[in-house]
Amino acid sequence: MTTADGIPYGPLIDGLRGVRWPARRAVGAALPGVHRSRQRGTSGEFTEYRLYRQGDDPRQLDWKLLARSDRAFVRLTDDRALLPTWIVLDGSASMDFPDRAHRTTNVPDKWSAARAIAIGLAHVAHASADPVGIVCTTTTGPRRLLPRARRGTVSEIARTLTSAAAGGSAPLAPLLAPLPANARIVVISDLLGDGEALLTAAAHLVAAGAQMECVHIVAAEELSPVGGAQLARDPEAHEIERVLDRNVMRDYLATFGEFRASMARRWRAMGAGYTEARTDTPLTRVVRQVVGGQAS
Amino acid sequence: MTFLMPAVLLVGAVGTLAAIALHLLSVRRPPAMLLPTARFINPRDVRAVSRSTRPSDLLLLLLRVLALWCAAVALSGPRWTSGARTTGHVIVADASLRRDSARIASRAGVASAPVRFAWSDSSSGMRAELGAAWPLAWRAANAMMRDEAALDSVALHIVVPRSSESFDGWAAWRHSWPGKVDVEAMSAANATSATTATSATSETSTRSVAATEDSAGRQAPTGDVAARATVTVIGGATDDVVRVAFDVHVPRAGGSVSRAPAAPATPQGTTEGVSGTGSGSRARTIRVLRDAAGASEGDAVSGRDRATSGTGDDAGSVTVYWPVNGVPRGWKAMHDTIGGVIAGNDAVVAPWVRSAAPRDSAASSRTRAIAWWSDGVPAAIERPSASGTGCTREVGIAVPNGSDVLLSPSAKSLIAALAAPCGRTTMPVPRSVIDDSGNSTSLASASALRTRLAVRDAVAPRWLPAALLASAIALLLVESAVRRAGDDAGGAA
Repeated sequence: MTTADGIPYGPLIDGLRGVRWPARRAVGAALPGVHRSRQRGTSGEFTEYRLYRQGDDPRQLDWKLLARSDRAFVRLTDDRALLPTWIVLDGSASMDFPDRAHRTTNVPDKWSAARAIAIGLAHVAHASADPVGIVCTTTTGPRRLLPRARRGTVSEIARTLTSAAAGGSAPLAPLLAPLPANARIVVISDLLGDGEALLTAAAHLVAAGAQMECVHIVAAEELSPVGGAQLARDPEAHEIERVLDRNVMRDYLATFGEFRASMARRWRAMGAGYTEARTDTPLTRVVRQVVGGQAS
Repeated sequence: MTFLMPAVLLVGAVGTLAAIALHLLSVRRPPAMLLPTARFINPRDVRAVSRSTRPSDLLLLLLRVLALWCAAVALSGPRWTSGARTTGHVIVADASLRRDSARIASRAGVASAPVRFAWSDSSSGMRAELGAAWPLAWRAANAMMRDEAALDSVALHIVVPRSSESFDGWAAWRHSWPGKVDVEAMSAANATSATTATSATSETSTRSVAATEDSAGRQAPTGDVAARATVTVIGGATDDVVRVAFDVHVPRAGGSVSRAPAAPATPQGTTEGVSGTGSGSRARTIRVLRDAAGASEGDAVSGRDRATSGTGDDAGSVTVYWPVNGVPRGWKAMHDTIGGVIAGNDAVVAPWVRSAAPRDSAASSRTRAIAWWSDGVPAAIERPSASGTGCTREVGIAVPNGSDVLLSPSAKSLIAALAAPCGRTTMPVPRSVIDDSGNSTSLASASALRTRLAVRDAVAPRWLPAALLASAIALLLVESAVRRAGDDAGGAA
């Protein structure tokens, strides 16, 4: 599998083999899966004893403990449940950066990196039998794939994302808000669009019980703009034109860094995970950081 | 091509350099690029100063430079001339040389170039004031500038007379001419040839004072070359210094100054040598009376004057009453010493003993001084004769016997003043005037003359400045259109 830019997904998926993406918290009632459920059951691995109460199944009694202690205890175990995973992908015009002429060699643009990370996360989630779905904004409008755990889901996701092109300035928050709260939601975006609305929608979902992850895509060319004096123009707001030269570079980097730090604080403050993914960072590492929660 | 105001071209050159410099240092918008994080850049002026090694917008620069040069050339007064540089000639000469104008032009090197003559009046003009040549030269140059529009330079040739009464004007106006001047003295062939007068009485021989040069190159003291003169000294000693002075300072023409005895004699006994001109030309007589007896001498002088003036041949005769004691009749006696006597441009410095001075009553509009003591008191005066055709000169200078003060070169002007025609005291034109070609070694440029004469120079061809200005305006219109097109293209980009 490759993207339209020629990024091979094969090595990426091979590099994520065996990687598991455990849920941050116990999930709610759901189909049996690999994630620890908030419910206590009688199957699965033993977790604790509880005194026998009127109505408990006598088959759960631990007879050996009764014989030793002369007291009736019931064995309790954790349930495992599925955790549907939604991957929300920002396909606005700001993600289509840089263009081929200004791209650093061997460094993908933000949209390609975002798609690769999405496919990597989808693979990891699918490997745990979790249903995976995607929602993304593209030049042709939003695209949605409902979470599925069947075979071929990741390939379908890859095909969908490969054919999608970034562009336009459609907001991402309206796509995020309808998502179910009992799911794991990963937002992959540069947070340069409707960042405030996105934060608000994400906060609502987190409060409702969703497990939120934010992958902040940052281009290496945004961190180190090359060339002499240039007139920088925002692709989503053409009225914003600023002269970028060495005289203002320091202030620009400081302001941009403050923005990224602010985003990290706010996402984490709401209980979501935050990972800054630079395009010059190996994609497998980024996926591992996300699933491992190391950047949190 | 020449230009009436070349300085305007310098302004055009400076403007061209400024336009090129501005194109190298133009302030323009930097190249645009898409940057999603542009919002984090501090807003400021979107223009940035950039420098480049090559001028930007070469087409605009070319249009601007061409328009600038068209305007500069148009305003500088272009004159399209043929390759050859034309020189005009102005020749100033005495009117007596009018018949020799062709030869004068040939000697001036005028072949087929434009030439204009300016003739100086023989009785006045350069003979009275040598500086009269300059107004004549300027007048002729003015006429030439108006008639000849294609001249590049003007050569001035002046043929000066051998003597003149004054050179003050020459020195004062010499440097007004903005170029080299070719000064030539009148040649002997151009002057009236000298003739040797032979008297009917052979007792004395007279000598004509003519306009010739002796072997030493000295010029004749007389200014009237159209007439001959004979000098007769009456009275005095055999070795009278005055007679010797006239003999020394007046070029010889075969004979010496005649001497007549001092005793009153009948007019026919005198040897005035009035006539005797073999050539038939009119002769001028100069009689120098040296008798010591003032009263009798004065009467005798008066009688001789009346007798002489009756003849029809001695029009313009001069009688010089130079008593030996230095006290002419009618002068007031005085006795002092004085350092020098001045006549013409020279001063004879010696311990003179002054014995007389003209009375104040002698001054009149018809009396004029021709020599002065160093304190300004007249030493010699001239009165017109009763007949009006001659004059009498009274000299109050006492020359001791045996003194050679009158034989010095500085006394030549004094003798020349006493021998000059009536009403005129001429001096030989100094060599410095003839050798003076001016500080400039190049001919006077026609443009400089036109500027000084306020002669409106014709721009040739007449339509050229208008065409150049129209071209400049058209180029500016094209530049404006190209500039707008470039701005629109940049905005669209």
